[in-house]
Amino acid sequence: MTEEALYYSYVLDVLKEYLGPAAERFLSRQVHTHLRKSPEHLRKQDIQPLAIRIRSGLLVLTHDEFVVDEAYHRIAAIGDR
Amino acid sequence: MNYPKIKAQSDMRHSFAWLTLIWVAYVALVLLAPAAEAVGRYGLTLTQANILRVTILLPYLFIWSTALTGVVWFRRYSKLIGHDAPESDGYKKLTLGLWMLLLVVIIPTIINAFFTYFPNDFNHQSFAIMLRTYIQIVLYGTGFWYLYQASRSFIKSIGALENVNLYRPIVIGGWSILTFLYVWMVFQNPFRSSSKDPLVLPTYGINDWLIVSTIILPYVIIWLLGALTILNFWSYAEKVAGKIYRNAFRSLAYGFSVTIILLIFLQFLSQTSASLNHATLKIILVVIYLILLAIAIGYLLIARGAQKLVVIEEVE
Repeated sequence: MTEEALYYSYVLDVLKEYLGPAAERFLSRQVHTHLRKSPEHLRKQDIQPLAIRIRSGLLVLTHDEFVVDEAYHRIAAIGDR
Repeated sequence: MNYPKIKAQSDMRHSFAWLTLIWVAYVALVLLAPAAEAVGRYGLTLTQANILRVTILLPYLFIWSTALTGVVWFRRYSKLIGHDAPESDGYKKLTLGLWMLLLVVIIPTIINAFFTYFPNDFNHQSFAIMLRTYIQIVLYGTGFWYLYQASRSFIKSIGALENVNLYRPIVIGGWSILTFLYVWMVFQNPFRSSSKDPLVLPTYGINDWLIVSTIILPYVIIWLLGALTILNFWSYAEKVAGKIYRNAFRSLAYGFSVTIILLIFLQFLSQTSASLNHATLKIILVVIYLILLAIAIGYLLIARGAQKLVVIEEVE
């Protein structure tokens, strides 16, 4: 697996814990719409802006800010690896 | 950010235009009907009776709209997730099931209204009861078959059979007790086939053999499908990955549980038609309003769950 594909896979694993079967479609939309690239080309420097976009998206879906912040921090941490 | 309400608006507008047309026709049918025998029985004028009818017509519009909202949201959701998603087959069947649950709250109601134009014709009234009963059985049967298939498809998509296998004997046990009680109540009902009381219409108006083979048997099968559907939905809602997704699916599981439990309750209630026909207007109205409220809550929860799922797929 390429390094880019690995980042995608890490983010997807985290998102699945929040969005289940909808996670892959959600992530693909976020990457296409906001980063203007395909998900398998995700790079380390994309993770932080992506985490912020995902945070905004999740806030529309739930009022539970604890869950949203938890997801945000976990995704943002992927960029520090 | 694109809000799903905006995207789904044209779908909604079109469907609601049709629904409103049907409701207006239904309102005209009800308000232009001749005074029923019950109007005289309770000492009401035709105007008072019509005011009471309006208090029932408005909740009907709300229930129909909520059921239609659920259908529109699910149709949209099925399109959004596409054909390749593992849960796609389940949502398509769920939409078909919901269509049947929408028709089952509209068609029998219109049949009832139509036959109020023959208030003193016993043959027409008996025919109306049979027609309504069989249409309900066909629609509920088809609806719950699709819902059961949908629920199986969801469970298979995540391979979570442990919960289902664990609780299935309890569900079947509960269903057996309800079936026994229902059969017992039907045969305790002296008005099941015919009625000599001018205030009480026969519950089914057919002989015992036909009651068993064409009413009791289909209904208990529908209940079993319904009970297994609830079990599958709840097992999926508990086991599927995703805190936020699970939360959205739970609304659906609650909605379907309320609808299925209500269906069973209504069948039990239909066996007490003699007592209800002799009850005071106040009691009858309270029973009707409570039933309408429960139906509305069921459909509202289903629509809410569907909307939450659509939002997950549309948020950008």
